[in-house]
Amino acid sequence: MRCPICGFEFDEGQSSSCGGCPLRGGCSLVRCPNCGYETPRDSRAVNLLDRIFGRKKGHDGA
Amino acid sequence: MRRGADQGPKVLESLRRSAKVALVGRPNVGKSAVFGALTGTYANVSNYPGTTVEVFRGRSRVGELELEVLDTPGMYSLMSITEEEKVARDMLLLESPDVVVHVVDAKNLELELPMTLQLLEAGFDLVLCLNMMDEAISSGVQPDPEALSRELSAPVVGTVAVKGEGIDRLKEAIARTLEGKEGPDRALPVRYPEPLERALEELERLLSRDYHLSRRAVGVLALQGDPEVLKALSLAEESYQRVIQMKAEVERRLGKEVSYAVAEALRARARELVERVIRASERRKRVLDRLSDLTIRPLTGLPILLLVVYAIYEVVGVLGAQVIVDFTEGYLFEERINPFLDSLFERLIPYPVIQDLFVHEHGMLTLGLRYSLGLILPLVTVFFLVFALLEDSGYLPRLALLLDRAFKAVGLSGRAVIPMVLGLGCDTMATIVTRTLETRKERIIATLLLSLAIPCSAQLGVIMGVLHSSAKALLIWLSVLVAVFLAVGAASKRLIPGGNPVFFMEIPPLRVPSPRNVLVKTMARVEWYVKEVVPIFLAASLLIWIGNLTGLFQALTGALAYPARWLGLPDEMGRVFLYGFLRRDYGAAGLYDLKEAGVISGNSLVVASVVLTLFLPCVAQLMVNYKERGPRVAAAIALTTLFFSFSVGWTLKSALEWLGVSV
Repeated sequence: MRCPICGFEFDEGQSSSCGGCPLRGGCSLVRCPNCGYETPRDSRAVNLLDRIFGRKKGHDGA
Repeated sequence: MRRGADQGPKVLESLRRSAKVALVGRPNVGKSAVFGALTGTYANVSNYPGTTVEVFRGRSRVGELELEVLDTPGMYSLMSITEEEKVARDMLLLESPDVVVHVVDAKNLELELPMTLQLLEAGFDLVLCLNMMDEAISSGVQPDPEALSRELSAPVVGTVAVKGEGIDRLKEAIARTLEGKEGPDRALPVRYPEPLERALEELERLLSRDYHLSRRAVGVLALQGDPEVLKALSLAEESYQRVIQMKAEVERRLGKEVSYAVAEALRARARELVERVIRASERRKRVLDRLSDLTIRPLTGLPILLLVVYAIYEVVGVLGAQVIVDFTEGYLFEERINPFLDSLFERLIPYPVIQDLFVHEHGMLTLGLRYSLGLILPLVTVFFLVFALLEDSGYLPRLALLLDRAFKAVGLSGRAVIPMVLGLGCDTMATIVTRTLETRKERIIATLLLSLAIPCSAQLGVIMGVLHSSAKALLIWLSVLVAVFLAVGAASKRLIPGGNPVFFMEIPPLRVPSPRNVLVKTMARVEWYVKEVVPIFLAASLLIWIGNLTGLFQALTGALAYPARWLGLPDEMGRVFLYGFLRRDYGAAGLYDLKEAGVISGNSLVVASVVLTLFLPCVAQLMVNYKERGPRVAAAIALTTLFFSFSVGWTLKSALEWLGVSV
């Protein structure tokens, strides 16, 4: 995915860990390893719509 | 061996049987994968002397030549900030590698090339490794290694290190560089503005020692105020005082900090190179480029910012608060759902005290659900929609650049725009993100301003809903917040000890938002909000019910009614302040109720909105403040916001009366 702040391209697996954050584990945000900006990972509602309408998951920076 | 490092003539490279190669690059660019592909599985891991930073060393072979390969910790530029970056720079300087391989993410060349240019400027014998070429190509970016090599006068190799692709070519490039067949003497990789160039020429003449870097690079670092370089110069150079003097002179002539001018020049050169060497499929960005420039320049950027704020108001305050909330809260909950639930529970449960837990004025269903789903959810949904549009368009980093100067006045840098913007979503999360700021001073100031003057999305939405009927009221509220932000920030900058931060952020291209991205981001945030807010609002209603039973709620709201009276506000505001402490948006929703019931209006409504926005951070944020900044700072912030909010409210009330302003 692409960070909306600094434009850095990274895989979700590269997202730096959020050690010490009380929401760790239950949080749906991905943190950019470059600038620290947090952005939502995925939407369950949109995924559900995708499944219903048979659309493949995109990788266009969302 | 570093070109221009003034270390004497090259030894006969062709006779050498071993050489040292250092891998450098940002974190997460696949540097370890390149290291693994070069050296095989065996690596010697040790802590770098005097630090806890791990350093990997391994061996590789190209023909007869044996290579010792060093994997340095991630670094973003030669100006080191973190311990890892300091170690990486020390390794480059003290271990004297014969070749430096700069490993970069091929997808992000515009972000990566500034450091390449710095390394070339420093005189290192450099091989540029464009890693993750497969991802770059599949994402539509097609860097041309040969073209880039010609532009930089240095070998450039494309690799996919995890698959071992391109590693043989990388080894050959290293070998050719060692043999001196690559990288002829090159022109300056980057030129800076004239005052800086002249200062650098003088500095190069003045420096009398060798520093493992080219004199030009030492000069650039010194004029940027790099503490370690300045320390070295202060010990070794008689002309040290002249260096300090030159820094001030250059900054006066440039009208900006040297580090800023250097970053700008590096970025501009990197952009120019990318334009030349990328066979990108997206060359239709002329209009967007022009618009991008307009958003950054103060003369045009500020009116654009005001337009953006106005658009947010129109969408959240008018569409959200007037149209959608009128339906969801006014019609659905007030006229349909709540009367139905009241009568249902009155029939099902014979005990009024138990009925009150679920329904009536403070019931978990009639208040908790009405606030969270009927009132706040529609407002945050439209706010998140606008926010996602801004985020996906690439406007936010431009806002950071535009506000950098204003932020400097309050002891922050443009980088602090990240937590501040996140604070408009949720201040608690944003406080955690303040960790990414450079200095302790900046982290404390950002935490204070987030607690005080940055309303979260739900609070912002409801306040816009409360004040939407009067543009004057909204303008006063906004002006007071901006004034408080600047005044408190400026005072903190003076009072809190510590250095001021330096800001450097690469700007990604401005683009037309993708509808799918906007939808995903909006829905993801709405889902997060529903998941978080509904249980909390239900719990808050439960607490209020217990407080009502025990009398604690009445005692607290009674106590908070005193400052409310002092501000000329109705006693019911005591309850709203208490709600606001439980959760910011819960308090704002309480204020919305009072306004709808006709209990509060006009100037009092503006004063109440200001006090409530500046009021104590909610419980969750207080806890994060404590965790992130420690008990003393957290307590100081809580007390400051508590007293400051009422003081500002009183000042505003008096000023409006004195000026004869009524809204």
